[in-house]
Amino acid sequence: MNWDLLIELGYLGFVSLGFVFVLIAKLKPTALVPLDTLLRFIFQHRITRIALFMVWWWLGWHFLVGVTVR
Amino acid sequence: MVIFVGTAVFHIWRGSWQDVAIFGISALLILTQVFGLTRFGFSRQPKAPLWLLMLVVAVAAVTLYFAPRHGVVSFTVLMALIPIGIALLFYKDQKIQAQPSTAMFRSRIIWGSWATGFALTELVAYVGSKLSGDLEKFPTISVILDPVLDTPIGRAVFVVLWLIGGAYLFGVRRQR
Repeated sequence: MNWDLLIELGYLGFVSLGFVFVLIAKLKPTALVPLDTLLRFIFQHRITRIALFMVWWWLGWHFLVGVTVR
Repeated sequence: MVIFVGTAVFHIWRGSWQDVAIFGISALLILTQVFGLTRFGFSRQPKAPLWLLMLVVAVAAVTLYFAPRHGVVSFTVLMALIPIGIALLFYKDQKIQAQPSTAMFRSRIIWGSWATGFALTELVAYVGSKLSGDLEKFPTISVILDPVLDTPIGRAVFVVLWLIGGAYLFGVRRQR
């Protein structure tokens, strides 16, 4: 099985799907709420704010400071 | 919290102790909130002027672009962003909170599934690379992005997108 192609298509597929969701939310907000509205809602909770900040911060850490590939 | 604990355990298996510390501390921090230690913090959401946020982003972007990867300067910039994050986000939750509409509920499920699927793809690649010892046959996102980040354009794009994403999520968008 061509795993590398399958995995790379998986990443590409998820990135594309993300853009599709954003587009659907823009065109039909009754089906999917816009990302901005979703973020405003989930940021009501400090737990979510901490979690999202740590995930964002870790991404920067992982690629700019930490050892990326072992 | 389960996700953060799981990720910390995963990094123990990986032998990446920095990541264990980051996700372990995050899990502990979240645990304090789960158990109700939420009375500490600013009474209102702090608001930083836009020019200040843009200045922080610009200084961080230039520094991270020119500083060597994995170096002391990049480390210092990343550490300096933590107190800024605390200043912007560590305020108390409002007592009365909005209830989710059907569309909101659906959106949370869909975006949550999307993030889980993305993470599982990365996990399959990581486990596959460990079992086979072949990083090219089972490429993780790190393996794909690492050489890109060593090029000037690749690093510039990553630094700008990452910092603008952070400024949007935790600063600019929240000022409205």
